[in-house]
Amino acid sequence: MVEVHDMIIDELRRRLKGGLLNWDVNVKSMCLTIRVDRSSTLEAIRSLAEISEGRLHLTTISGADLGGDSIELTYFLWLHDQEERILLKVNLPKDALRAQSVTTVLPAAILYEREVYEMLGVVFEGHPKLERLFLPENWPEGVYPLRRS
Amino acid sequence: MPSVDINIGPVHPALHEPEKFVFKVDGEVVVDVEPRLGYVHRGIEKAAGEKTFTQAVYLVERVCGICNVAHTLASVQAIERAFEVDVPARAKYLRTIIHELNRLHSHLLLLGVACELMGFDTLFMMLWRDREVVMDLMELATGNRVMSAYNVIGGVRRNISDHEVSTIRKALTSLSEGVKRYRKAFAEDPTIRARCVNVGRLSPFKGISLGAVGPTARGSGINVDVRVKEPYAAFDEIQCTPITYNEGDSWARFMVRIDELHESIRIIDEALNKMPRGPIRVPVAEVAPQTAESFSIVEAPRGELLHHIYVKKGEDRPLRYRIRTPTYANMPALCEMLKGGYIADIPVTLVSIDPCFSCTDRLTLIDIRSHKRKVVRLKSSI
Amino acid sequence: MSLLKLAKWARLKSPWILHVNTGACNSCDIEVLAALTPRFDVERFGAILKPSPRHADILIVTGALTRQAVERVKRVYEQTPDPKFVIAVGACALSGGVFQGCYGVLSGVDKVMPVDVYVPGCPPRPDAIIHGVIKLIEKVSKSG
Repeated sequence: MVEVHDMIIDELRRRLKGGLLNWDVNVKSMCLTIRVDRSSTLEAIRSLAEISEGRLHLTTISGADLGGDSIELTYFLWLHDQEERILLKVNLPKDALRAQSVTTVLPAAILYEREVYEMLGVVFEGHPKLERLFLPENWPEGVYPLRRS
Repeated sequence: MPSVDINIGPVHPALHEPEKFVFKVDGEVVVDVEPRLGYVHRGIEKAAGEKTFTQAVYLVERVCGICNVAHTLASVQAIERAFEVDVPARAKYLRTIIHELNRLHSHLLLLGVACELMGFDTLFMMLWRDREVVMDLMELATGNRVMSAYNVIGGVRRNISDHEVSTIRKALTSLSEGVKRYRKAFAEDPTIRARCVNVGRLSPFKGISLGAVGPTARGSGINVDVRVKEPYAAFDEIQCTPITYNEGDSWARFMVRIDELHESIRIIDEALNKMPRGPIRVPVAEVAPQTAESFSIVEAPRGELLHHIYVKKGEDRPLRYRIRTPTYANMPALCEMLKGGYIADIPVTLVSIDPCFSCTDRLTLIDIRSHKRKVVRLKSSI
Repeated sequence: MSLLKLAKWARLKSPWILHVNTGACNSCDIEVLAALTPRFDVERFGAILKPSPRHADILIVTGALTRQAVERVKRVYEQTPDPKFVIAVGACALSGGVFQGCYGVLSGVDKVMPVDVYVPGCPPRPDAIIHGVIKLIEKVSKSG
């Protein structure tokens, strides 16, 4: 378990350099939580996909506005080969809500990124079709249901 | 020849829930598909923002009426983890039993609906007749057929007596006989095979990259099952085998579910045998003892279900509540399966992922009670 | 006049049903479906589930009426030929239930169409839904 974590962190440190901000292991759930800089998101996902030889499952992207001046995105990942749960966290400042789209590596992210865009107003650069998903057609522009202001 | 757009839905006969798909077709062949979600989007968050943790459990139960036990289970587990509460052993077993009963009912329901869509009404009626056996057990154990409100923060609401244990055993033994017959029908019946074999194929590679979960993934030979890989409730003490088929077509996905019926019956039996005596519930504080983030992942009947919450010390409501339901995760895989298939195969492929749109549309949830909560102006949008 | 009588007789003996989900959580929907299956069998009263509003006499409406569904539900109601009857099933269809006050719902189908019979419950048992259908048949048989 621990060796796997070390291997993943070593690999990410090598690939992301300063982009890897910090990491810890949640005592209760025993899963690795990694925090990266937003400009390293795509590279981090790509590294993890390579570590698991393409067998990387994205459970979801969960966006949260906790009231501060940033929005936190959590990527829930599952490495099939290593049987490891990893939480990848990225913080986005509210005055520049732009994130890297990971759809090129993980097509599963297409709907999740659209949802985060619709609910929180985060723009994913490189997303093939960043449109609304759930809200009615007549929903006003620029109103994000899960944002706090 | 230019392709033609066909709108199916939102109110259409193949589904009992409103959802719209726009199919681009070339002759009889589907070239592309675009789902339009949101017809069951209720926007649960705003109401939930005014609800306490205890109330939130009742609300998320109504995200979906079919897999409601999975929702309450994930919800209470996430809250318990954030609160650092340990649940009594007997409660964990009871949760497992009800969770598996819920799976039995859900799988029988889906297999019945699939038969109805294939025009096999006899088998549909038979499956639903046997499903009533499970509904009776749910009523016996929890007091209600559908919305059981069984899992509560800190344990479960009701105990099961020894007499009830023997009733459950007896009923499941007879159900098991029925399931054997249905397995034979699905495995051998020429009508079912003609409608399902090689229909809606999904390769293991696509399955992983598009994020398929649950029986949809297992039907493509992907070995995932949260019960085994990340055990929760009593699954760390109960043996559970993931059921996979390698064919990757609609038939394989139905077969996974039929074999899971047997597996669930076996799990319930093992849980009833191993279940220790003792308390079933511990008291839990109403407000969060510390600021924390936690999540819980369970294997709902349709696959991996995630509840992710943030709590703040001293608050009695979640700061943020996010749910990711299995049908939502399976949507990209579904679109992939439909591409290249015939229009006539759309309903079978659709139902083979066991779509649950009230799950998908519920939206992320619960916001919070922040002192300056933003009020979304709805009137302007009407 | 006798032709009208015949039509009424036929209607009472074969009230065909269309099930409309306006944003329900599924639990009412499965109970509506369960009402059609062998244990409960609403078909013994001549009622069968039809896939098209144009064939239906009765609309069984479930769900909290989401904003997205409003226009579609209205259209389904308009497409149903007269005389038509509506049964609202479940707490959500009656008043919005647990979703009352959510931004996505209008709470209660009687805001967009007249409702003849209300069946409360979360979800109502299939027996209760059948009871609702019978009440409606009684109501129609008494009317002129």
